[in-house]
Amino acid sequence: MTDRFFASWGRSTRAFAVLAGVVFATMPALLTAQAPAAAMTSPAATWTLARTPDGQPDLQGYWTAQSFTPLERPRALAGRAFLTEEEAAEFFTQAVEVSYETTFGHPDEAPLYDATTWGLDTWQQGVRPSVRTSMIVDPPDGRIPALTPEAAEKQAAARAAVRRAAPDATPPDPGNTTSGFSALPAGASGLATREAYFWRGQWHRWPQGPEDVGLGVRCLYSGGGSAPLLPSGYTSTYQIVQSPDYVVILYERSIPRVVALNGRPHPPANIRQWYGDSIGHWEADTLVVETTNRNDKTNFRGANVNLRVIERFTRVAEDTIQYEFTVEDPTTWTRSWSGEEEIGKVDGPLFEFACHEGNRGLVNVLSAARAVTEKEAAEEGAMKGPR
Amino acid sequence: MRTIQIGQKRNWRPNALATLAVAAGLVLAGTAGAGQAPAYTAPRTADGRPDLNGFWQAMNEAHWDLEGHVAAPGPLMEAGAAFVIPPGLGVVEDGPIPYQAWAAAKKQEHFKNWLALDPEVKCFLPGVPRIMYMPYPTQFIQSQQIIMMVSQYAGALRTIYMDNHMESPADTWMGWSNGHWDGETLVIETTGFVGVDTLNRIDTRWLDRAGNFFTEALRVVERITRIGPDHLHYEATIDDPKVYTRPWKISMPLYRRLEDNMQILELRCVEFVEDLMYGRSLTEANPLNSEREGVR
Repeated sequence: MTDRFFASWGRSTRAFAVLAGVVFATMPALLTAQAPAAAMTSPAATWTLARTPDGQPDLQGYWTAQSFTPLERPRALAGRAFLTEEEAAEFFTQAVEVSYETTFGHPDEAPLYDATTWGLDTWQQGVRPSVRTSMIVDPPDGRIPALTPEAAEKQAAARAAVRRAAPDATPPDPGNTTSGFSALPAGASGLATREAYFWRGQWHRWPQGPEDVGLGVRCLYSGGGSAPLLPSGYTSTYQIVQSPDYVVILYERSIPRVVALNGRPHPPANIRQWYGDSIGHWEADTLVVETTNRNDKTNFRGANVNLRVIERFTRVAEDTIQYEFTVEDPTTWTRSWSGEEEIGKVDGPLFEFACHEGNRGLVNVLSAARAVTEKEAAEEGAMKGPR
Repeated sequence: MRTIQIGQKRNWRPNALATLAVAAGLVLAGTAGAGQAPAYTAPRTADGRPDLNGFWQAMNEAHWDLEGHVAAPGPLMEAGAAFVIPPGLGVVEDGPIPYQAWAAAKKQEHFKNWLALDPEVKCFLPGVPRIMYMPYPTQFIQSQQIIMMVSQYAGALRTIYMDNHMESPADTWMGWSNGHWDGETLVIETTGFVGVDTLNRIDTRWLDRAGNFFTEALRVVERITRIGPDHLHYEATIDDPKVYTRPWKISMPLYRRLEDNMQILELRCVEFVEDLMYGRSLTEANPLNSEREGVR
């Protein structure tokens, strides 16, 4: 299962980048779109909010946070929070096409794994059109606020460490890196050194142990399992189950997030978890969830231990939850930021992911990386002669 | 109130008698003696079902060995008395476990090679019924259509489908569970287990640390009945025609975790087994890679 994640990583971003060029370049520059009063999926006039037997708004079922709308507003659309409905429809059509064309299971890169066979490609996951140009609605420019000086320094240090991993390597032609697999064609020179390889626009160290590969590949962490819910290339489907005192928000690739509604506080500050701790309450018909207590091993855009996320779930139609989130971390960003998205109903069920049990990927990645390192070392030794 | 006496459990028919009691309009409170039904009717959820919500945990030695056993030293000499294997009378009602001859031999082999072969050591999902008596709490979250059971161990999740029953669509480590109410009792039938995982050298799934085991042919029928404010009666009938000569049954109480601030904290053991499974020397640390090394 890990292989799928590895392969799909970053694909949505790439699709949007392609689209931003294709679609937005063709748009009249001075379109003055007004904010539409409602989203493109208008609730039926006759719809009434269903309630659980104990009277809570019923949010239960299977939902997707999948979207073609980027988290941050593209620079080309600065000053415009919304597309017109015509633009949105055109964007959506083209996004579906790009999603299809760039599917990670394309025969030339993964002949044995066609994502479309399993309904895993983005366009197959119930994704809907949206008139928003970004999920972020605050700050009004639709972009993540500036990092604090402390956080900026930390980020720069991390980038420098990656550069140090491949001091002599020449960056390959970016044209070669549109797909994850073709970034490392067999026999290509200049793409891999003894210490690192180039993949998807970045140098990566050859992993020598699990600690050198991503948390997702290690089956330790998947962002979808915590707050906020953001689209992911692999799957963005969630299941919600409610009892009077708890709401379970289940993401397939993660452990269940159990939101306590019984008034208990967060655990003490020394109790830190991969997915943090979620408590919630109802404000009228809106479920409000607060998540804190993350550990220092995760990384949400540079934030972890001081991250506080507030989410608001409101069922606004039979097939739609209005989802709003606010992200705060005064040690990472100079101000808080907020986003929103419509989450659409999809068919279930969710299946057991069993990431760790099926982690062929990690075993193979490590054996291959160690083999490369050993081979390079042996060749180097042979060239230098006996030491 | 009735008291629980050793030896009494085999005579429990909590569901049948409770149903009868309700049907006849009888009040048994205070009259139940040994061998009689618990005179308890569970509080109801808003939709009228017995309310099983809460944090539940077994308090016994079944995770060490479902069958009776005496105390033994733990596997790590340095840990001394801190990690001894505690004794227990066992939870098998009609034991010994009715293994077919080959399976009895295999169980012995498992017992002798516990650390090398037990999937729990590698932080794998334990399946059913093992998850229910591991030494960790499990939270039941009960809705009308679905009951979720969230264990602390590895975040293991059981989804019990109370409607839309279907055959297991794919084999899974935790199985596919269809549930229904039989009066006071939640009845769950679970099938569709992964039985073999060649890459991980798993050829059977384990029921405890003593090497009792099952295969993909396992069919478990569990009956869960609330017998008091803070107790459940749990029983499971275990049927695997590939391994046993007949179905057999375990039973035990499950206890409510009463702490005010109770919650399921993360026990993400994947992180704790990385060195064991993927250590820097893959070949030494993880025998599953020795064949790959040979090929390379």
